[in-house]
Amino acid sequence: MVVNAPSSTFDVVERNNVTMRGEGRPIVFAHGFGCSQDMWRLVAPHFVDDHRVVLFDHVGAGASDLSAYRPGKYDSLEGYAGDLVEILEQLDLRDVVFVGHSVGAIIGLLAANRDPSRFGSLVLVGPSPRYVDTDDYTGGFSQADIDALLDGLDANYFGWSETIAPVIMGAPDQPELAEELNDSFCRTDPSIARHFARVTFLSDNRRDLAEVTVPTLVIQSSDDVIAPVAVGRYVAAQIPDSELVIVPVTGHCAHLSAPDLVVDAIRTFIS
Amino acid sequence: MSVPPGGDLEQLYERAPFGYLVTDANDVLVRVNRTMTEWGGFDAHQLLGRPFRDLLPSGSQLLYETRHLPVLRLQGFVNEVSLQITRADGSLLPVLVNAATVLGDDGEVVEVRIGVLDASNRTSYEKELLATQRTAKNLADRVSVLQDASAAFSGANTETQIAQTLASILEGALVASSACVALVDASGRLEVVAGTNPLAGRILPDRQLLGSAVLESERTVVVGVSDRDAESFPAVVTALREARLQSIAVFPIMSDATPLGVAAAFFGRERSLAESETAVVLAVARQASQALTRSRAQEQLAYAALHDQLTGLANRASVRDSIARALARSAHPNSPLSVMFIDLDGFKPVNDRLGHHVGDAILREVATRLTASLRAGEIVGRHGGDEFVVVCDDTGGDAASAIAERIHEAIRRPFADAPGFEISASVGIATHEASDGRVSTDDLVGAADAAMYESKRLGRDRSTLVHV
Repeated sequence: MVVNAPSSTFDVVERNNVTMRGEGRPIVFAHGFGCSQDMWRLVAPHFVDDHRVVLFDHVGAGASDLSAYRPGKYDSLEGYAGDLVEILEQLDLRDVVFVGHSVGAIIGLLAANRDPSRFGSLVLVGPSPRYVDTDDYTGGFSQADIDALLDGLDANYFGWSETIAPVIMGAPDQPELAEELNDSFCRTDPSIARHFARVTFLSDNRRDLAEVTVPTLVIQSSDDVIAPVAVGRYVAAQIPDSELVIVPVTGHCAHLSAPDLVVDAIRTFIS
Repeated sequence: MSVPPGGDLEQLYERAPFGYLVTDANDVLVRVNRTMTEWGGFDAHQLLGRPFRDLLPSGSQLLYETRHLPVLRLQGFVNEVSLQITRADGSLLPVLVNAATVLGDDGEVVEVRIGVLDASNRTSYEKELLATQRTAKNLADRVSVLQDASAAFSGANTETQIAQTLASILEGALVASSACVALVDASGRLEVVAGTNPLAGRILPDRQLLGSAVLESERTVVVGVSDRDAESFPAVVTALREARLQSIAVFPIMSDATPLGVAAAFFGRERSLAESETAVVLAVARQASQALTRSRAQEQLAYAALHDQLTGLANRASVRDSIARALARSAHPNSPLSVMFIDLDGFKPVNDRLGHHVGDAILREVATRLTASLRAGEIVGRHGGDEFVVVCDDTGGDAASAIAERIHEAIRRPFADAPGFEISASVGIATHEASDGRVSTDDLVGAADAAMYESKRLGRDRSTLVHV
């Protein structure tokens, strides 16, 4: 078996569009489904004065290298977690404060379980280890809801899905024109977004919570339909060394709607 | 003040041909126009004070929270998002949504203005088109998997190549994190011959359990890390967890009713396979099974062409090839070559009095004893009847005589199948050195044969050595 080790720092940095600012204890931000590192623009700058702030895009999102996408690898969150570990290894970051939103939080948690030695603190913003309800667990969604989301994705990317966009643009040899149609923020590749949605919303990582050994903060919105308060409590209860902060925020993106609260919660936790 | 064309602004807002809503920064509805309330069958004052996302079914909420709102916050607007709104009667209204934030003097969001278009027609048309497109793509994918497989298998000749082809097709077709193929070996156990098995070394006690279960039932088995599967395959579930995997799908490779092996795909999350996925894999597994059967038949033919059916030794043609090759080699360095012709003494009475099946058993036992008497690199073949030929490369007369002595001792020992019968070997040895000049295979075999007759004439159970 041939193991493809990342051949150089450059590869991983380019693959995940890693950006770095500031000096100090490293703080690494991971975005969730549907967006890119843009998500952190109201939070990350607050740490630049006394931290090395590291931002990156999951493969398929933002300005990541789409050619690095291999469906088999990214068919589970472990593939994304492997990328994160590689980033930390290549940049040789230790005692990392990891801040992840939503599925990005779970990816960071899996990475910390793989190599706890690089992590000092985990901050999970709106994490959910499983979205689909089971007999004895309430994630908040049914399989039909997830199917509807996937249909919704198709509907939204209908105009610029990979096969149709070039036809509409009348320029099959210039696919970059089709990409321009996408929003300027939170760019994602439509077909990868569809797969990432399946992986995000159909994964079950409940068993991984109890294996976390890194001190963990769960930041939970008080009103979040995607990751309800009960789920946040469950996550905090399952992770041995963890605390839960419930911020008075409506919606799944506390770091966008109440960035100051999120910054304060992180600073209090890591100081 | 004159009323603007089209009525007053209030009417323009309330009766606009699209839904128009306003929320505060927290997504709470503060204003909704009549068009929207009528489309949804809502009572306006019931809507006010509720979050806009409450109007969306769960699937749309997922998209709204993870995509629509972040882009709106970061960009200040978001256009043409396709969502659904749940009407008061529970039915769904497909809509296209534009939204824009309004910022206060401090740069904070004060309100969000949302325009909603009824997209029922567009959506149903798109849905049909998408469904058609997806069906066509699924079919095309299946066909291309099968076509690629058939091309790949026709180019694969050895068992390992066939297994590797199957493993890589499996990995691609199922979007698996890895895949491997295990074939049933001579002892009836499954051995991984291609691909990557991430559970290797992790499930020692009942490594064969899952594969055997698949082959016995002749059905695909999918095991995940759920508690239910942990009861049936505890070691597999533990190994999956250790390997950071969540499920494994194992497919039987059958040749009619004969199990040839299994193909396994490994997944990083729990996966249930669609019927069409399983069908494609089993179709590819059938192609692999045919390729394996073909390859094994060819191997058997090749084996049969060179081996004696009764004893499994090299046959006459094969032995003569070996001699010719050894002669070609010995022509260069000055190394001797010895060829032995062996004829059994006392074999005919066994055949006559105990029958052919005992005779055959004796010949097989002789083959075993001859093989055991030789060193690696020395070749023994059956020349026909009770005649055997031994080829000893790089062996002079003395060394050949020593080998012959071991052969005499081995054959002299009693045979359990023929108690009371005395069997021995008459041996003729022909030794050749390149310095002696050129000889042919026939010369060597003929000389050894003649020397064997000399041994018979001198009283059997002995060796005669000649140089050619």
